[in-house]
Amino acid sequence: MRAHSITAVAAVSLLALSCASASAQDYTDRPFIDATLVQSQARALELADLRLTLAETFPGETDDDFLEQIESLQGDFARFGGTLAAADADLAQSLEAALQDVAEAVESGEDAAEDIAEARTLLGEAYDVVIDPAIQDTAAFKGAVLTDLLLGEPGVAEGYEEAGEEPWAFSMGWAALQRVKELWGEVSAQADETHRSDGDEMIATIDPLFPNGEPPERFVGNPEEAEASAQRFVGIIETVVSADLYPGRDHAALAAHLAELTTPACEVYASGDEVVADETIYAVAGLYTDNLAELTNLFAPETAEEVSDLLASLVEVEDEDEGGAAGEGAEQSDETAGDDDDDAASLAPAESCEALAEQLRQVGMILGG
Amino acid sequence: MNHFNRNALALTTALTLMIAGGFAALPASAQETAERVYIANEYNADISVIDPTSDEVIATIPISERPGDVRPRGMAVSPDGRTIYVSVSDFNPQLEAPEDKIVAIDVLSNEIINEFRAGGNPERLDVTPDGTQIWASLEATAQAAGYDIETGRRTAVVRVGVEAEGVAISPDARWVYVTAEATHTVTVIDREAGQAIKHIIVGNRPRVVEFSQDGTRAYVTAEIGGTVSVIDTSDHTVIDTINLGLDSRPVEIAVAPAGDRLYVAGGGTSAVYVIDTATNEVSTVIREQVGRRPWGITINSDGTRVYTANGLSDSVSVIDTECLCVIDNISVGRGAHSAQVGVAPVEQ
Repeated sequence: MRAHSITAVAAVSLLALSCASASAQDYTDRPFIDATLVQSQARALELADLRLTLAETFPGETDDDFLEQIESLQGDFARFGGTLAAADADLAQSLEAALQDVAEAVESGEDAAEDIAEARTLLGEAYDVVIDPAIQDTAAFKGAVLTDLLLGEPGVAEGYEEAGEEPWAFSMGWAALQRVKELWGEVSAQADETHRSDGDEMIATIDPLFPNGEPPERFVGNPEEAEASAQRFVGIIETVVSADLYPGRDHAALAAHLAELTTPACEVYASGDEVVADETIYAVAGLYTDNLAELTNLFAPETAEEVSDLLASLVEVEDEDEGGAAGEGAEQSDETAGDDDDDAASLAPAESCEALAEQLRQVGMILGG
Repeated sequence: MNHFNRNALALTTALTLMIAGGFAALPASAQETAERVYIANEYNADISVIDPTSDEVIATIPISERPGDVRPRGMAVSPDGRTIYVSVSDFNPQLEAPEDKIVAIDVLSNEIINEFRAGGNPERLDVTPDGTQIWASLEATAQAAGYDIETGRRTAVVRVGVEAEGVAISPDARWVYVTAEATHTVTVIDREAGQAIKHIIVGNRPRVVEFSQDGTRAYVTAEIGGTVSVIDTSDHTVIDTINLGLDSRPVEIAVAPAGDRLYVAGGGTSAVYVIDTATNEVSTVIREQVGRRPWGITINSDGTRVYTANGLSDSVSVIDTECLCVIDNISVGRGAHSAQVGVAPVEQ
């Protein structure tokens, strides 16, 4: 039976799901829902810092995959640069240039130490401009950052899992782990003895998997070993910071939230401030890809394809096809996919954005909203 | 999956009726059996065998000489209780490795008596009530597959959700339910037709599914959701969601032979949640002396003992279902993952 024909039958059963979301009330905060854009910006600021750590740790390295990690500094900047520019145009300009300098110096094999130091100073200033330090200081914010560092890509769990095929992802995982230790040190201060000890144990379990940042010459072992501990660690962090750190617990509600978040961004696109609007779409793309893409693809592959194309027409997104398309039912001909891409690309950003909001609303309904 | 419990209950009832009717003179060997508890140790690549009369490990069955590369995970028992089936795979879900297979262990001898290939990283499995077919979840390929036990031949393959995990076959053998961690779904497969008829969304990161003895309900744990979804199998719809708390991280679930209770392994809280099936509410949470990170859970045939496989303390906790308390902890291999009860005849 084709997946979309199953969808109609399944829709009825989804009505009973609303009660499943009740459990999310166990915790006080929902940083990924209530501060979606802020957490996305924080994720980018943190990633930029990890890339600088990588550049600092491996001077003179010019491996292509390594350079790719460093070049992604520009992509990180795109996720918060508009907000930064609106608040402090000079700082935004200086930081963008500094990140560019780091990438160029690393690519040419030159000593990038001074450029890295300069970029890191500016990045720290930018962090405080983009995200209110009072928010940065909250347990929920730190918990969400920790979750991204542990489970996001790049990150601790993914870095270890990908080590066999992408050795420099391992190094990013190592850098993320160093930041995790620092943040956990702050967060665990408010934990009771049991949870502090449990969290410390998770770090002690993960730490030996990353003896240093050097990418492994040959990876052996269980690629999912870091993930098991990282998942458990996030569970501990949730309790310690009293925050729901899995925004996908209620799929329909998340889809509705993303649609709601997207709508005002369309007005920003229409006003011509694409850089700022892009930041929202990056945030939407991140949560959609991590939490809804595969599920949507199972129930409504055409809608999943449409959302994917619309996101790609607005911002640069990772190709997540490999997971969502698993199994023969999800396959789509290259020709058809190409047509859809063309359709989405031919729209003005504001139109794409509105179409995206509509498709996300559709996703919410498909998933039981 | 615990077909043994269902069948053992029927067998016990039949024997009781026969004895009451004057048929007590059965040969002793036909009546005397001994249970064994099997624990799949993920990181040791072996199976611990526990004698529940002494709570001691009486055998360790190696599954591979490459622990750390090859792992046993989900297990199922044949309807007569005499064969334990183990899904075995390597650690890399992306690879089709020769280690992807299903292994059969004879409960009487504790020896591997058969194995057949099951490519695609088999994670969990179940056996049909007539004992002729196995269905396994193939984690790497988002599929479930049926295998003929006698020949090892793959008889069906069905697309399910992404990162397939839990498998349960309904007592009437009509349906195969398969959970999928990444899509948060249970796929309902018409077993004879070999086709998926429906995907049902359940809690976040569903792990294990079990049917009630009468087959009218299926229970699905959701690790991140912290819930157990109750599915009405007449129309395959979620009719209730039992909240265990977000920190509970439930994995395996055992249905009491009497059908009145569910026992759920709470990996996040190192607890066992006892659910009253009449109300679908948590009646008791057993925490004291439960080993760390229980994932596996199983129950013996008369429903008096529950066994949890504790992955962080490499142990099995033994729970007395009358006091609902832990009465023993037994050391097993590294990364205790799943638990299952087998039964073997005892020579007189």
